[in-house]
Amino acid sequence: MSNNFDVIRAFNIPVEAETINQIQETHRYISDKLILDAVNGVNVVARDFHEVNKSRQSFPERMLDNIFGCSKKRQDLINENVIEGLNACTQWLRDHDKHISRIDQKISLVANELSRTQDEILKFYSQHQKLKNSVNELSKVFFQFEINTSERILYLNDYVRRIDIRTKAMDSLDLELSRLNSNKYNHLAIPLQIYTALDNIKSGYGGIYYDTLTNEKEKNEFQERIENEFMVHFKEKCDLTSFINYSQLAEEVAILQPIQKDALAFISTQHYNAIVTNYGYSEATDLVSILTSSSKYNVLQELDKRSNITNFFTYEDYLKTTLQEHLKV
Amino acid sequence: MHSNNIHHVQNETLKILEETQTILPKTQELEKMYKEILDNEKLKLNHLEYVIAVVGTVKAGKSTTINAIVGKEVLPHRTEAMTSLPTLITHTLGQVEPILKLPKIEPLEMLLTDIKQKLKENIKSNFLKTDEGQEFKKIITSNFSFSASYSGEKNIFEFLRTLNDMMRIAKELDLHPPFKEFENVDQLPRIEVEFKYLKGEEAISQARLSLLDTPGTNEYKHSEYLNEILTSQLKKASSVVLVINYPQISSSASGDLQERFSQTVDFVGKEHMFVFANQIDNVDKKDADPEKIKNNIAENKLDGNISKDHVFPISAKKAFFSQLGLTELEKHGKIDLELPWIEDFGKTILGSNLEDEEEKEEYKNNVEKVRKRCYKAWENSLFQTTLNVVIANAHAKASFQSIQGTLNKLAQIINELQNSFKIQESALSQTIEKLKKDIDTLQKDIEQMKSISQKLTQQVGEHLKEIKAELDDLMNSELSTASAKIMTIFEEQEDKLQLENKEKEKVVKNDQGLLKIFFKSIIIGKKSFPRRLEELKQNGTLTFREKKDASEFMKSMIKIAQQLTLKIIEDIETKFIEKSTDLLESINDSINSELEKVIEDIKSSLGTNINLEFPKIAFQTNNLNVKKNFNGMIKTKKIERTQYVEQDGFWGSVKRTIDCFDCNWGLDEKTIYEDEIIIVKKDLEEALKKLFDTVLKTVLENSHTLYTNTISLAVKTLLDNLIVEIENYREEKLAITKKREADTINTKDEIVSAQRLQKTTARLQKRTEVAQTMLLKEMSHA
Repeated sequence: MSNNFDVIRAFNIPVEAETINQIQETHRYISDKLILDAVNGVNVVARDFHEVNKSRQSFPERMLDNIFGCSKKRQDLINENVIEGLNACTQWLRDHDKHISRIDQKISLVANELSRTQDEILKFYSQHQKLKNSVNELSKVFFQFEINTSERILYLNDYVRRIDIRTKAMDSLDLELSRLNSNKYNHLAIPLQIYTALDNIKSGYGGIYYDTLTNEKEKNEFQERIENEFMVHFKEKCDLTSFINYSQLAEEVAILQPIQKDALAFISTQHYNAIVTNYGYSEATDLVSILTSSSKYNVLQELDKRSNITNFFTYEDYLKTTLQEHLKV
Repeated sequence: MHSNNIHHVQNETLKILEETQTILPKTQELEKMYKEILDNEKLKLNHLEYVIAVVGTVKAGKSTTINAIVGKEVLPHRTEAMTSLPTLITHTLGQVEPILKLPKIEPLEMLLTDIKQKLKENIKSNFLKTDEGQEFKKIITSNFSFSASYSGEKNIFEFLRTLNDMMRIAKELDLHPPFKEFENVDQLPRIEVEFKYLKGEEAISQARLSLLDTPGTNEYKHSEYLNEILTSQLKKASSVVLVINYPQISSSASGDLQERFSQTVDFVGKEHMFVFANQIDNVDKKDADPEKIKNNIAENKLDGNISKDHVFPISAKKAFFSQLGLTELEKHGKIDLELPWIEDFGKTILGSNLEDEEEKEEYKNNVEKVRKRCYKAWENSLFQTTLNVVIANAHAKASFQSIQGTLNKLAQIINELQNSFKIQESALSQTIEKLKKDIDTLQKDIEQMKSISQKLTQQVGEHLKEIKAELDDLMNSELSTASAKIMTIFEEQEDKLQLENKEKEKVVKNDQGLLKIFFKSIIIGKKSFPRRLEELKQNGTLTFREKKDASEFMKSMIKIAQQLTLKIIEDIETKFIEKSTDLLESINDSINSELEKVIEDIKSSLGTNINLEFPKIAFQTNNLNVKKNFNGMIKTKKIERTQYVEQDGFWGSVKRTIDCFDCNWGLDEKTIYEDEIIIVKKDLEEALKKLFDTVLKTVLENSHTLYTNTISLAVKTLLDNLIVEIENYREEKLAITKKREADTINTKDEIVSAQRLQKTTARLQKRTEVAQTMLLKEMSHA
């Protein structure tokens, strides 16, 4: 964890270690997600900063930008923190071989993209007076980062071959179920419990296992297994065939601790962006994103406007859709 | 909660539509076609237009009711009829000053020219002798012409009056007004104005609400033409409000009201029909209880043909003047006591005579008191709840229809898109050689389908002819049996009544002694009775002494007629469904045997398991208003009757005792006038004939519509659409083949994209299904 926090600090992300620890109790991969977002931000600044911003224009009052300072962070990246952050990240990737998550793969993907667009990024940076002198250094950092992530991918592939990912994936499913059974997520409304538990599965070994499967049948079986287990659990808590009451849900979200709400807003928005960037159809994720990032008074109006979100979501459909959106991205 | 749910379904439909717009195929023609359909559906959904038709009995206060809803005098509320053409009054947010728009001027201009021409011929006219007539003549002979719009109450009234006078004179001059030109709702004169009551209603702001002011059907006797437009307008209305003069109705026979009600209810169905029992302010306090009024109208006056929840006692006058007063207070902070309507306002709202200087002074200085009185009067008018219910009802019906139409269309388009994406995927995965081969095969299959389609349509036509002839025979025989049955009952009643009446005709003589009884039994017996009975029977009249007896008999006749009619309709329907099921089975058999192979071939050529849907054919039953035909059957006749009154005194009683031969000794002759309640056999026969003619006509129309428009058309449309759909898929394959040959697409990316779009359409299919279920659920609740 301290390792993760070093990277976060190096990127100058304005968040306290204590806060991270607190959020991590529910959202196990929050720090990894922050690092991914920071690395992605470097890419975004030069390439399609505009596009990503556009995709979120519909909710300008997003709280997460204020808390985690995503937009500001992207602007701030045009400074020495880029170099510092990427250096720290390189070190982190090299060091943390004990832990493996789907985020690592994502970072590798971003690094690949970075290396492809390196020249443009450097050109972009050299236009900024403040950074002109650091361009050479940045170039070196990029080079190093690319090497490290390539090594990391090789390591990951090798690691996947060596260990029994399936067992770890099933363990991660069991762990989430046991957390649900022991009411660890009871501070969250049911749709958010579903979202959080599935996010923890997919961001860890569950996601890696699913991605390494090449056989469609096996993929569907794993998906069905999660779906069945969740159905068994949640049918005790609610009528799965009934519709989610959005106004009641908005009320429940409103009384969440701000930090919990913001963490969910950050995770779901990052997730939403990933789906949209891949031309996917985001419904459940966008619902969570709007619920947690709009004010209580605007939620229903926002939902009314979002054509991708149905007005008649049964818990069962929501569960299936959330699972689908988690696994397929 | 209910309208909220409807709003959710409507919003969901809009959302599905918007999502569908984002996944349209990139083939130019197809994209254009779908885009047009979807844009059109969106427009309809967003601009829901619904009409509440207002009809009324004579002097019921129709115009005042409309004015009260608007909160402004947009229609002149005067004693003579002023509506000569149906007129729409549309709620337009922000339009404070009313504006009348005339979309069609030409027909009116032409009528005006004809009138001017005729007037030159010096034709006699009663209307022209009146002051109004002279005024009208003066107006039109000056440089008068119609304009496309009229602003403000004064100009609108003038236009309406001129139009009215034109219609009046047209009748006298034997000219036919161009009613046919106004059959479409968009062609009618329309007054656009903000309805005070709806100003803050958000749900309504998305829709366009209009009131349809309808002319009385007999105004100026242009009835046959006017009826046609009225019928077409009422059929399109979302709800109908019948305004009645309650004090008048409650004290008179219910025939008029029943007639007016039955004239209208068939157009919209009783679930969308409302009765406004107006002028409750003119009812005695003891009879003014709203529940009592509701029950009286629903149960007594309309014999339970309408739910009492659809009857609303109101005072339109109070509602109207209270709204006028409140508007004035809002605008100027006080009421100008010199306003032309102030006298009526004073009487209705303040209960005071504002012509009196002292009273004037009292209210002049007490604005709060006026305001309070206005609120109180509005409350007492019982208008608020009434409007809420009627507007919600009309809105719901219009929404249901609009949403259902859009959802059905969406289901069809999404299904086609799903097929299209499946085809894209398979076309991208196959070899070009195989693709080309499939395209050729498809062309042949389409040709084959076309010839099968032709054959099937012919076959269906022949079947239909046979069934129609069979139904006609069945119908005729059933109707004549029913008619005979009812007439037998009439005759049986005739015998019974005559016996009873004969008994009643006898003067009761208390002093019948033994001697008299003896003589009577020997000499008179009952010999004259059978002869008289025959006479009466041929006369064909049932005579009742009590109106109650006549009504009861009529009720039982109506009930029997109703039962028989329903039974006939039921029999016909059973036969109808039985025959239609046979027909549908045979059509399906033919489709299966003839088309199955082709469709299988097509499916294999398209390379995927596409979903070809056949439409469901729904059968409708028609509700007949049996009672309508029997209205006015009971007649009252004043008859002169001779009655014998016993003479006073001893001699009288002696004379009566010795009168063994019924010579009326000791009795004085006296002429009295009595009501005789009669039901004429001929009338009943005519009513039955009329009823059965209607049944016959309705069944024939229904069967014609069902067979020709539904089954025949459905089969043809189904096959034609299928052919077009398959042709589109073939085009799709062809387009992909060309692209692949020219190497202009990235096959791998396109496959991923087609797969992704299939997932999206699958989700949209599910959402459409859920929305359809929700809508049906709401409809059944409503």
